[in-house]
Amino acid sequence: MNLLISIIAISVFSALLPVIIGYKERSILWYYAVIAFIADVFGIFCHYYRYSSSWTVDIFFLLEWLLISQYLILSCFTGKSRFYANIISILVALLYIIQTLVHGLNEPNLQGAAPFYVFYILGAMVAFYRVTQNIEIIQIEKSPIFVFSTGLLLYASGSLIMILLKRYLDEANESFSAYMWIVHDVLNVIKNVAIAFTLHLQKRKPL
Amino acid sequence: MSNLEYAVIILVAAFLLLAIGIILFVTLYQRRVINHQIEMREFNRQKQLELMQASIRSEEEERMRIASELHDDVGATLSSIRLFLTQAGRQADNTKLISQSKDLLDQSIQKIRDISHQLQPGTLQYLGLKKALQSFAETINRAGAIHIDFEITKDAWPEPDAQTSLSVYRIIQELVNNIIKHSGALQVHIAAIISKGHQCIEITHNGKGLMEDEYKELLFKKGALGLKNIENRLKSSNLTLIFPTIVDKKYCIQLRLPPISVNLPNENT
Repeated sequence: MNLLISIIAISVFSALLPVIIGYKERSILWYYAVIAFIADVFGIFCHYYRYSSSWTVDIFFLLEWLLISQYLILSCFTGKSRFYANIISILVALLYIIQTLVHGLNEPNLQGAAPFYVFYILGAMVAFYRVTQNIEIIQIEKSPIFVFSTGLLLYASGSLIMILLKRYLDEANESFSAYMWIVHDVLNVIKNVAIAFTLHLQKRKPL
Repeated sequence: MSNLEYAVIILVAAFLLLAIGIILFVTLYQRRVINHQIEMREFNRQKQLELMQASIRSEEEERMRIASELHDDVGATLSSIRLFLTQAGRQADNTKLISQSKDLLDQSIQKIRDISHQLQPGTLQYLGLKKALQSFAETINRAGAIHIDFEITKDAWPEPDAQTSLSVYRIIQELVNNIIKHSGALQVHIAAIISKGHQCIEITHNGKGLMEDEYKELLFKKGALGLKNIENRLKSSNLTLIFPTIVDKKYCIQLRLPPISVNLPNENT
């Protein structure tokens, strides 16, 4: 149990790393890290005092989607394609809001957030494609968009199944579900480290 | 563990492995692309260097040739004239020595004229490319080893600028020299034509012509100075060499000139 709590704590506080690194030049990813940290801390606070915090999870999913999709759109698309990508982003967000309202705020709308993760995977692929097409990038590991997409792809592909099946797992075996959620927490740490590194690289080179 | 739990573990692991695989693939692919680009840059740099070296070497060879002709031929003749004139000074009535000196002076004048003509053909400078090519063909014909005929298919074949004319003349000279040396041709036909909206000089001969892949292969080999000079001139004057096509058992190579602003007549090949 101690291991579980330690991992959760590391996962929550790992968001502070990008917050500190990106403080001087605040960008979309910095705001995302701040929101992730506040949401996690607020969630723990609500859990401790036995308040319902499911609505904060829903709001976090929505903000996470808007910020990450915006970052990917600004990095990967230009002109008309950027306009269409923004339209898709807004439509997906609206769909989630409607779904969540129908689903109710008693528990987090995890299944409704699963499409976000599918789009994160697709977005990371598009970013990889853009990186391979950009002949100016010589050291791929020093490209901010590549570093961020790597973290995002690992986070989204590891978390997708968990988010999709969490409700069924909770019903079937709650302790197994809690242990499996460790994977999500570990991937969350990886994602936050990747964001921190991205913000560090962006200090030297913009998007 | 239930089937659902097994399925979750397998699916999560599979997705993560797939993601790692994609990241590795992108990293390796990008590295390969960059390595390829670096190799290509190095290859082009090497090629440029070789062309530059060939140009310098050719310039040096030309200087050596002129120096040796001046020293061995003109120099020796002038020394003989000096000797004859010294003798003639001692024997004032010896008209034979004066006459021999005159002959030798004529030879020297002709030799200097030849060297000067090779350096910068006067016909090209004063009468233009078409006349210079015609004169070149006549010079080769006088030697008798091969027959060249020159033809201008249209009168509306504008004279290119001086720089392009010189490059075209030198390239044609080199190509014809190569045809004489290597192709075994007996008949060469040079034509100034308009093809696909471009001014062209077309050389057709009945020998064995150089194909494009052979030409490119030779360019990267040591030696082949003439071909490297052709390549240099093609680049510097924006000319294109259209490689042999075999028409009626004859090889046909075209030198395409850069587009000009005047209205050219329709295709006439």
